[in-house]
Amino acid sequence: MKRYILYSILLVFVCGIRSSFAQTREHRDHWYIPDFVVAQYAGSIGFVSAGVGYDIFSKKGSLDFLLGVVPGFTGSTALETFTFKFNAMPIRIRVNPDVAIHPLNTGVYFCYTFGKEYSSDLPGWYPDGYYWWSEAVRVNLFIGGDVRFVTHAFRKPKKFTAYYEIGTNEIKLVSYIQNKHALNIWNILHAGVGVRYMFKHQ
Amino acid sequence: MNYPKISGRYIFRKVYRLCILMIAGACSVFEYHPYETMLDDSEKNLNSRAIKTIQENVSDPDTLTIIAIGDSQRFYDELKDFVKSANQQKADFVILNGDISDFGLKDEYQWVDEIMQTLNKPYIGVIGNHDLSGNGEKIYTKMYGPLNTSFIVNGFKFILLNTNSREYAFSSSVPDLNWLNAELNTHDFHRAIVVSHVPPYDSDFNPDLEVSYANTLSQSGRVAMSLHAHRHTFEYGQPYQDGTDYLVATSMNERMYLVIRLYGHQYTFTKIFY
Repeated sequence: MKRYILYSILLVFVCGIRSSFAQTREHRDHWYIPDFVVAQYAGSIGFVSAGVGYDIFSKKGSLDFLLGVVPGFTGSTALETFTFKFNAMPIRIRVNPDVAIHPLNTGVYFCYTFGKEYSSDLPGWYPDGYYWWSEAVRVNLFIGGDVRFVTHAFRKPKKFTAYYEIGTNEIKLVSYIQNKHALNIWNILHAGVGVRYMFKHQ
Repeated sequence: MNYPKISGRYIFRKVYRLCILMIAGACSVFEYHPYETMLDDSEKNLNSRAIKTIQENVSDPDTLTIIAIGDSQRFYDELKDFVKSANQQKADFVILNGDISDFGLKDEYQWVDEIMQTLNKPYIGVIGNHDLSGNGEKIYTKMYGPLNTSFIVNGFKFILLNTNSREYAFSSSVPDLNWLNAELNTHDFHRAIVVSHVPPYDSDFNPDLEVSYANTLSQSGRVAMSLHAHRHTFEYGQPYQDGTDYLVATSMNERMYLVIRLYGHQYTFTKIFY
């Protein structure tokens, strides 16, 4: 039941954004209207995730808010997440009027997993400090890159960003740091790819 | 200005194709979640497959030699060295007595199994408290099998018991002493070795069940030893002075393991440092 509520919220979330961008002409100055919608595959926050985001620091960075799901058909137990991502894009290479590349992005994202079985705080029957990590929250660091482009495939020119990220989380990182012989860096890395549709800036 | 001629549509098509390729490739780097639980068939039912191999290959009909270790959690370098050392030992199988993983991640279970598969003998995985973190119980069950289980080799019955009471808020069913009692009352074995991660005198064992556990073992009259890990240090003795020996294997960072030889009503053990 909880799962369906979450899926419904996700749907309303995306539909709400669609209708809000339909009105962007009148409301384009409102700060709370996101700059883009985003969809991502993998990246340790879900099989697919979707959400909204904002350009910050004169488009040298972005903030993303994502809801992610791992559905049962993947063979895994179903999981639902909320992710807050900060992405810095310091280097911008303009290829032509329609295409720009950010070759080296970096950032951090916090992924919260829904469900009382994934505790944020240790339940009362554990002594203080029994386990030092949270089950519910993962802290991820990543590097990546993206390409921003205007496509004329639609009736009006539309602006997209396609990105990839490769990173790890704090508990996999500590495992690697202590075991550099038995583990190699690829053991702890996870990757994600995604698309941002920048509907505000036509 | 002279820009290279790359159209948006061209990149759109390239990126689209790349995405499809990556998703279809299902490369393991595309993790969905640290607590994801999907496994290949080759990674499933490791214990029942190991038991089959043990029963088919046991050489000496009178003695059985086992290697006992525990707490491989986040000690992968040390575990690799253990395998190198254990491969020099003549033994029928290895018991990894809980805390296989540290955070209950599928990745960790796989890292440990990958190292343990380089052993030249089978190994049995037992559930530990850390293995129950996150979706660890689901992964353990898929990968190794039931949390409580038993098997018989050469008349010796190995009873694997989940004693991680604290992970179940000290529920009265962990450890399941009714099940244990039934296992100890079958007539198909000669001596029993009760294998579990948390020893009964540890604060993570349900204190209401401590005495019942000890009594269940001593009253059976056929228990060779109660074998544990969890305490990250070697312990040996009869804490209840009831004739039952309790033996605790170290964690892997102690760089020590136990070689236990079982024969008739007796056993000997050796500490091996590596």
